[in-house]
Amino acid sequence: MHCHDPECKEACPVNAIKKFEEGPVLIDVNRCIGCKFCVDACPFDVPKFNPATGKVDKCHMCFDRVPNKEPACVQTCPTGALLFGERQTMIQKAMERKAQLNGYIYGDVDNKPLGGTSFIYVLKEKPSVYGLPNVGSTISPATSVLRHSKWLLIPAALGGLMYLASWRQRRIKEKEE
Amino acid sequence: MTEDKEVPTKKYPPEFTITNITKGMVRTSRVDFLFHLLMAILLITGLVIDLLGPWLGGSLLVIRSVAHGYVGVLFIIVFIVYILRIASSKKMKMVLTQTNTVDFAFYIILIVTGVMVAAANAPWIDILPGLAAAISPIGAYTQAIHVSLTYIWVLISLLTPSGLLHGFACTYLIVHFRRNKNKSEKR
Ligand code: HEM
Ligand code: HEM
Repeated sequence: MHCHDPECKEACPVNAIKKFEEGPVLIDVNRCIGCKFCVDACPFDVPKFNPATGKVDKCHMCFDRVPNKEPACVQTCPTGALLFGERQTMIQKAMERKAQLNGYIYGDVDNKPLGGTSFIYVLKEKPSVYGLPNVGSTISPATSVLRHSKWLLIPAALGGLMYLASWRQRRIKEKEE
Repeated sequence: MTEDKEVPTKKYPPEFTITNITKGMVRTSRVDFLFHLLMAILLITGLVIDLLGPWLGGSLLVIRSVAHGYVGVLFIIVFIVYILRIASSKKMKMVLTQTNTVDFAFYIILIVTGVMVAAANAPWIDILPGLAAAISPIGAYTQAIHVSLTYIWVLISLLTPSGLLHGFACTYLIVHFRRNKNKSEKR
């Protein structure tokens, strides 16, 4: 979906996922360790573990074609259901189509899952009818917990040191007695 | 040498101190050794992935798949054997402290969530009909639970004398015991 604030990027322990200004969210295959944290974190179920490589794959928006050609899916779609272009132009087109259909826009305008997605759907029915999840506009608390729980090491270290100090004190006292 | 041997305290339950918890802890079996070894590997490799990931990047692939993943599977087998041993052995039940039991609860959750992380989007989980659907709501939380529980366990086990503190205390006792033993032998 190439979200504005990708949850997968936040969940990645090795910073292998990058968000580019132009839109794409890419996995750096050289950094990926196949831990699958992004697989579980993505509310859209996009990244998939590839047992053949031991790493995770996802759509890369044909970043190697894009400056010169459209993404392959856009080029090959037989019914022309996919359009590719500058975000504002796409949103404009989506709004026109929405008006024609008396439908819904998913990904921007009506709702902004994770800050808005680069894939924008124009739908005839409500998004849930198509199985599109109801995603909040910010990173979920679970992923924030995943990212920041390491800070618990600070109170843990302090607690351990305090334990050590009190134990030493007790030993010194015992020796004195 | 005889005066070195301490008479065990009669008080029951024993006082809640490191020395009491570690006192009388003897290496009992190979399963016990394996349990500790694999657990330590999992703890260290897990922490390395989470803490050093941004620096070590892709070189952690083997650590994740072999040293945490395959060792994780071995640990699960050893853990089950260990629990069965404890359940069937009076001696083991005696050396276990209440906090060890809390440690076990942590490990069971770590094992369940660990397997769920490892099995993310793996088709084999659908061999059991309905299982994937049944666990999918918690799917989004499994990694968060797996990792944050590790830190919560570290925190709790350093604030109360359990897991890690018991480990440090045991190591300390063993090292000191060895040192004292050498001294007396030299004499
Ligand atoms: C679920 C958590 C744990 C349980 C149930 C557990 C249980 C035990 C038991 C029953 C013993 C005494 C029996 C024996 O020595 O073989 C022992 C000893 C020991 N434990 Fe643990 N332990 C746990 C966690 C840890 C941790 C986290 C560490 C270190 C980081 C650790 C390090 C040690 C050491 C160094 C010894 C003494 C060496 C030995 O005799 O094997 N343990 N543990
Ligand atoms: C911050 C610490 C930790 C991190 C980042 C972490 C990460 C992971 C990852 C990425 C997996 C999936 C492995 C794979 O797909 O091959 C996993 C699985 C697992 N983890 Fe951890 N882990 C941590 C701590 C622990 C601890 C402390 C234990 C237990 C002592 C543990 C036990 C397991 C087990 C049993 C599995 C399942 C292995 C399998 O089925 O292949 N983890 N963990």
